Order: sequence, then structure tokens, then C-alpha cells
Amino acid sequence: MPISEHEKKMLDLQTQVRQNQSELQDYLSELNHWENDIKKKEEQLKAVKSDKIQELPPVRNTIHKKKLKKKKKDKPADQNKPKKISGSDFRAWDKFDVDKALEEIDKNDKKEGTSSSDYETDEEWELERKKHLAGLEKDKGNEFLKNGDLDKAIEAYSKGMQYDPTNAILPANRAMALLKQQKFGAAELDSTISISLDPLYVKAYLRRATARSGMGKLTDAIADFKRVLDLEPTNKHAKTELERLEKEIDREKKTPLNTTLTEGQMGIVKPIYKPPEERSKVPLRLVPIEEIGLEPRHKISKMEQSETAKKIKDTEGEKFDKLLKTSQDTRTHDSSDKHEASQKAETEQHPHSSNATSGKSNHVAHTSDATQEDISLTDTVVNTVGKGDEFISSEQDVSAKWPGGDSHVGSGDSFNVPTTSFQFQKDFKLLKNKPESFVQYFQAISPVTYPQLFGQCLDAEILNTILKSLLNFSNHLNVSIYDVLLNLSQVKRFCMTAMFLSQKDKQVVRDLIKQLEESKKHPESHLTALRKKFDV
Amino acid sequence: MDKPQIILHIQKSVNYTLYDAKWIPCSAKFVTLGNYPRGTGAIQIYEVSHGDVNVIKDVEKSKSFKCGTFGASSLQNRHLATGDFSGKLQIWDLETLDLPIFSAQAHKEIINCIDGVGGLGVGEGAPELVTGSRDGLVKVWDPRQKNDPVATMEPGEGEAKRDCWAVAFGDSYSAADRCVAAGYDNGDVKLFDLRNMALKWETNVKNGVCCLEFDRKDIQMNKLVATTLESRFHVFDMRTQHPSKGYASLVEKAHKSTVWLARHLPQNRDIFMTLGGNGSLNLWKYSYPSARSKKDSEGVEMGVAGTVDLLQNVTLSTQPVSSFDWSPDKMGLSVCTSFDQTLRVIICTKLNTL
Repeated sequence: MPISEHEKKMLDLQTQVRQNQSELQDYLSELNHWENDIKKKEEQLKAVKSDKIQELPPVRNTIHKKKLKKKKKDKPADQNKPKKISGSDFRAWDKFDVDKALEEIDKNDKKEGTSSSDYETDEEWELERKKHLAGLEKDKGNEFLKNGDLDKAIEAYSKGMQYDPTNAILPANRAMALLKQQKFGAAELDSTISISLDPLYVKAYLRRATARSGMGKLTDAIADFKRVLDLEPTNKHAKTELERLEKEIDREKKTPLNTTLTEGQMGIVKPIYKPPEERSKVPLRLVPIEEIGLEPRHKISKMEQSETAKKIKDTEGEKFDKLLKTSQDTRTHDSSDKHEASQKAETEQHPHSSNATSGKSNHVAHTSDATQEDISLTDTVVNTVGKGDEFISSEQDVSAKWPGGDSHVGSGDSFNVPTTSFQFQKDFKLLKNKPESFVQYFQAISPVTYPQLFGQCLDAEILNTILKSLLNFSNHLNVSIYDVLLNLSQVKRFCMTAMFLSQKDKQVVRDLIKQLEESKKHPESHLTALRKKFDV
Repeated sequence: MDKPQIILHIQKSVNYTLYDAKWIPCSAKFVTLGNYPRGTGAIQIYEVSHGDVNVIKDVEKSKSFKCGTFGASSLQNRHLATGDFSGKLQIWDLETLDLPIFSAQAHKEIINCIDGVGGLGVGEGAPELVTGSRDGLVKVWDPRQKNDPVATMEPGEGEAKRDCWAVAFGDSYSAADRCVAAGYDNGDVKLFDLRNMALKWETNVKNGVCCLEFDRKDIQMNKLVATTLESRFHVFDMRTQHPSKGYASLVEKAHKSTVWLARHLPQNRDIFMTLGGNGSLNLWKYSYPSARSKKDSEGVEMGVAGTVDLLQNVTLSTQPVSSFDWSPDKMGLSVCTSFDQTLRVIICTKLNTL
């Protein structure tokens, strides 16, 4: 039966679809088989994982030198060394001549062409590369150090330490840079790291010792220097430093007395050294300091005082006197002193308690001498207040009253007992025009310390002032004039100063010695010697 | 009558964007790479089993993956090399995906493409990877050397850096010989000779080069397919290079949209699949001319291009097909992914009769 073209096409299509379908079915069943087969094959593959390791060609950069970076070129140099130097053997590395090794490798290359790396694993290879980088950083750091660029040097060493934390040279070099920056603590730490990495590394010990001596840890520093000498008995630097430190320690041992805060009764404060960890943790106290002699108020008060003295002379009224005295006190002293003034009335019954309070209100620590004097002075005041006629009897007495009146002002103005000639001269400049304050100030100085205090600078002006004040206030002195004179005469170059005394001044000395003669406390021979010394 | 059939075997949609799919050599498994909407990377391993695919492994990584290859790893290890959005080149052991066994910041920007050679018993010479990136560089890596590429191809001083979209290894027939072809967004195709470390040839195909592939990596260069934007692909005959005219080529229109990919059938180098931006798959057969080279007027050898015939055309998706991979072990079996977040296992029949 003939079929039309259209029918034929349909039939063809049908067979094709059927064919395709069967093809696909075949493929799919085949695929299922394949899936199972490939699974088996894969398992086999996994089982024989530890197969022969295929010989692989070298990494490309070993063939193509054109694209090579410099450090990559260096690597085979290290690798091809006949005897491998271990990473921790720093001495061997120090001796290792890179140029020579490179030459050798070049020769080898010519002989047998490029050789592949000796390293079995990437890790080993990477490690070696990092070590090499660390070496480069070290060189960079050394260069910076040489040029004095400490910060950059430290940075380079730190980088190197990151690359190779087992290298003892890097922390030691960083310690050197830190030492140069005076960063002793960090330097000590770095040196310790270096020592822990290489306990035979002499330089690290030296640097740690230097750091420790810089921090004042002398015994530790000595221990380190000794270790250096154990390792390297010829090390000169260690020897000299060791001697120096031992001397320093001896000196410290000899002068432990210096560490006491005050000496004797004089209240002399001496500087001491304490390491930071032993220092007091108590916060520092603010000590108010007032300047005396600069306030015009005192001058005015003095004027008033002299005026009132005249008035007192004129009126000679006992009651009036008393009234005046109290009013003057309230006028001349400010509110804080008022309190003292009111207390004065009580001092007759409780002189000691009043003294104690006044001592407290003054911020200066009084020596026992000074307190003693305070008592005597307040007594004087009390006496004068009590017995008006005695107080106004003569000009001399009026002037004698001043130290009593001013003693409160003076102590309020707080002068420390001088320990140096500089301090004395400074105070002297302020006090030379105020004889009463000066006498009080001067009395506080122990005569024994004169030679030390004045040193070589007891000039005529100071001597004059001292002598005049001694004469003027001879009645109210609590130190022996003889002691003062004797000790003054023992000041260095005193005879020179004495030679330049004017006749007027010498008269003062004569008067003073005459007073001593009259007191008859001292043997004549001593006084004659004194006269000779003062050239009178 | 005996036209091969392209049949959709299995289809599976996923919850991430698929960029690449590769068969794991010597297995019925394939690995997919992509990125989750939150910007993380996805690696999934599927196994084909009795008409279905099963997820074997599913891992999320911090950076999105763009491309991957097994080309540089041995058949025993089957390590996957990936390029990610941040420019990192990583190599993964598929048994333990926790940490990469190799990681290098290969590029400053996204790695668009990757290719490998020297492993899997394919090609001679060292295992090497090549990566192309948006930063304009093409770098060749050896998995044995970390951090530093063994070769870098970059534009010269003052030249604009073009986005590199495609790289391919070829000519790897001996331990020393090897070529890298690179395609750029401006239509440049460059062929670098790794043996001489020199540019061997360059041309411009007018449109951005989406994909380059040699028909075989491990033979003397035979054919190079370059697919481009604007629905065109070029086939270069790489056997004969003319000093001035370069390589002979043919141009073919296909897909009516961007030709995203071209993949040669591992079992027959003259058959290849192209994939289009419209979701279509075209199967082509290349026919050689009677004489592959002739003498020009000055007596210099020059190549002669052959012809291509469309064998089959099928549209699977409305979205571009982003990747396609023939199974190296089973002829006609392939996997493809498209931007509709679907992976498809595709079967081509009657390929052995062509």
C-alpha cells in the first residue's frame, strides 16, 4: 500500500522518537552500570592512595630566571649546600659565606644543569624561606642601627622576629637598639628572650647586664657580667663593668647612714636614694610656702610698733599699755594669728600646750632647740605683758620686745635651717635688713656646722651682720656667743675675712669678747686665742 | 536522522547563586560553587545516583566562590582549586573542607576565571594553575610554591588594566612547553608562551571575551575557541601561525545573546557545546578543511580555518547558563548551572556515532 509523503514523514518521526527513546533507555541503564563501576573504581583509587610519588618537574621559576625574584634565587643557594646547617646553629650561620656558596652553586649548575629542591615538603621549604627573610630583616635592622635610625631598626628586628621566632640574634639586636633609646626594661626583656633561645649567646648577657645596671639592679647586672666572663674570660668590657659595679655596691654599703631622713636634733633633711619599688606610696603633700620680707604689711607694722613704743614712753600708763598691746596684736596679725594671740593670755597657765598648738599651726618641723626658744620667747612676751613698767623702761627693752613680738611672725614665715651655703645666702639676702628675724634664724643653726655651712664664702658682710646681731641681742641668745665666735673662726679662710674687718666691726668683736670675759664662764686663755683669731 | 539528543536528566534548584560546576574526576560526583545571598561562599558535592542527585557535602565559607578546577591536582588527591570574590586562590581537599590546604591572596579583586594543567594525568610538566582577575593580571601558580606566582602577565607601564574574563592552558605536550591564553573585556585575546616567557600572539575579537578553551590542553595547540558578547564565537586554528596574519579563524553567530561558554567534549575534541545568555545549549561539530595550511603569495605558510555545524540546540532555562562541564569518565554525561539557581544533569546521546 503506497503511503503519502506526509504519512512517511510521520512514520519516520515515529521511528526516530522510538529510536531516541530506546537510545536514552539504553544510555540510562548504561549510566546506572557506570555509576556502580565508577564507585568501585573510585574506592580502588582511594585504597591505593600511597602510590608511587610521581616525579614532577621543578617549579617553573627555577627554569625561567627572567621572572625570578631575588629571594627565590637565593633559596636554592641555601638548599644546595653540601652540609645543611641547622636553623638553630647561629654560629655556623655567622661563618657561612653566602657569596662563596653561590659561586659553588653556579659551578654545580653548569655541571649538571638545574637541580630541583632537596626539600620533601612545602612546610620545610617555607620554613627555610622565612628564616632567610628573617636574616634579611636583621641586615636591614643592622643598617638602620648603624645610621642611628633606632625606631626603624627596632621595626625591622620585630619583623624578623615574626619571620623566625627561633633566632636569638634578632631579639638581642633589638635589645641593643632599645638600650640606645634608654628603654632598659624592654631591653632586659628582649635580652632574656635571646638568652632563652641561645643560652651561650654572650652579647645577650652583656646587653641584659647593661640594661639591668641602667635600671639600678646592680646585683643582677653583676651576675650577668660574671656569666659573660664564664663564657668568655677575655671579655674586657665585662671585666671593667664588673669592677665598676662592685665598687658602686661597696660605696652603697658604706653609706647606709645617708638613708636616715634627719640627722641628730638639727632636723637636717638629706637627700636619699630609694629604688622605685621601695618608695612611699603615700601621695605627696602640698606644703604652703610664704615669702617673708616681701610683704609691705610687716614694714608698716614695724613702723606702728616703733610709733607705739614712743607713745608708750609718752603716756607711761599701765592700763593703756595693756590695751594698746592687745590692739596692736590684733592689727598686726591676721586672723589665724588672732587665735594665737588669744591663747597668749592662757600661756601663763599652760605655756607648753600653747607652744604645742603654735608648733602645729606652723608647717615647719621645729627642732627641740627651736621649741625651747619659742617657750622662752613666749615667756618674755607674757612677762612684758604682765609687767608693763619693765617693758617700757628703756629703748633697749623695746627692741628686745621685738623678737618676742615677731617670733610669731617669723615662725609663721617658716624658714628652714639651712644645710647649704647657697640656701643660707638666699635666706640672708631676705633677712639681713631684719635683725630680729635674722638672729632667730641664725640661732637655729648649730655652731658646729658653721665651717661646713659657710665653706669658703663667709664674706665680711655676713660676718658683720652676725656679729652685730650677736651684740644687739646678746641678752636673748640661747646659744653661747663663745661657741658661735669659736666656730666662725674655724670657717675656712676666716683669717682673710677677719683681716678685712673695719675698726668699727672689730670694736663689735671686742665688745662681744668683753661680755664673755664678764660672764667669766670661759678661761682667759680661750678668750685670748679667740681675740687672736679675730685679729683684735 | 542520527542527530544527537540533549536530554535533561536531573534538575535541582538550590538556594544560592551557582557560578561553577565541575565533575570530580573518576567518580559520579560533581562539585558546585557559588555564593549565598548574604555574600558567603558555597561548596556542595553531589552524587548522581539512579536518576537523582544527592548532596554529600555542603559547606559555607566566608567568601563567595567564582570558579574552580581540578586541572592541577593528581588523580589520587583530586584537590579542587578555587578562585573567590576577594581574589583568593585556595586549594581544597574535598575529604576535609574545614581548611584549605593552600591559600594565597592571588589578586586584589575577584578572580573571574581559573584553569589548571599538569594534574589528572593530563598534560606534561609541573602542575600549574592560572588565574585571571578584574585587577587586569593573569598569574600562573604552582601549588608547591605558596604566596608567589611563578609567572605574572600584566599590562605594561601606562597601559590600561583590562578586566580579564577568561584564561586557558594549552600546548602542554612536553615538560617545558606550555601556553596560557587570556581574554579581556575589550575583546583582546593574548597568548603567552610560558616556555619563552613571551607574548606569542594577540588579537582582538571586537567584543568582550567570555570564555577561551583549547580543544585539548595536552597536545600541540590545535584549536582555540573564544566566545564573546553579542552572540558570537570564534574558532582559531592554532597549528599554523602566520607572521603577520596570525592564526586563521572562523566566526559563528549563536544563541542570539552572549555566548557564555564553550566546552569541548573530552572524548572527541571536534565536538563542543556552547552556552548562551538565553539559557540555550548548542552542540557543534568542527570540520577541518581539506588542507589545514597553504602558502600565501610570498610562500609563507598560513593556516586555513574549517567550518562548524550545529548538531543540536536546546533551551533549558530563561537565565544565562553560567557553567557547563562534561564528565571526563562517561561520554555524554554533563552538568550545567544557570542563574535561575538550578543545576541540571544533562545527557547527550549518540555522541559516539558522530
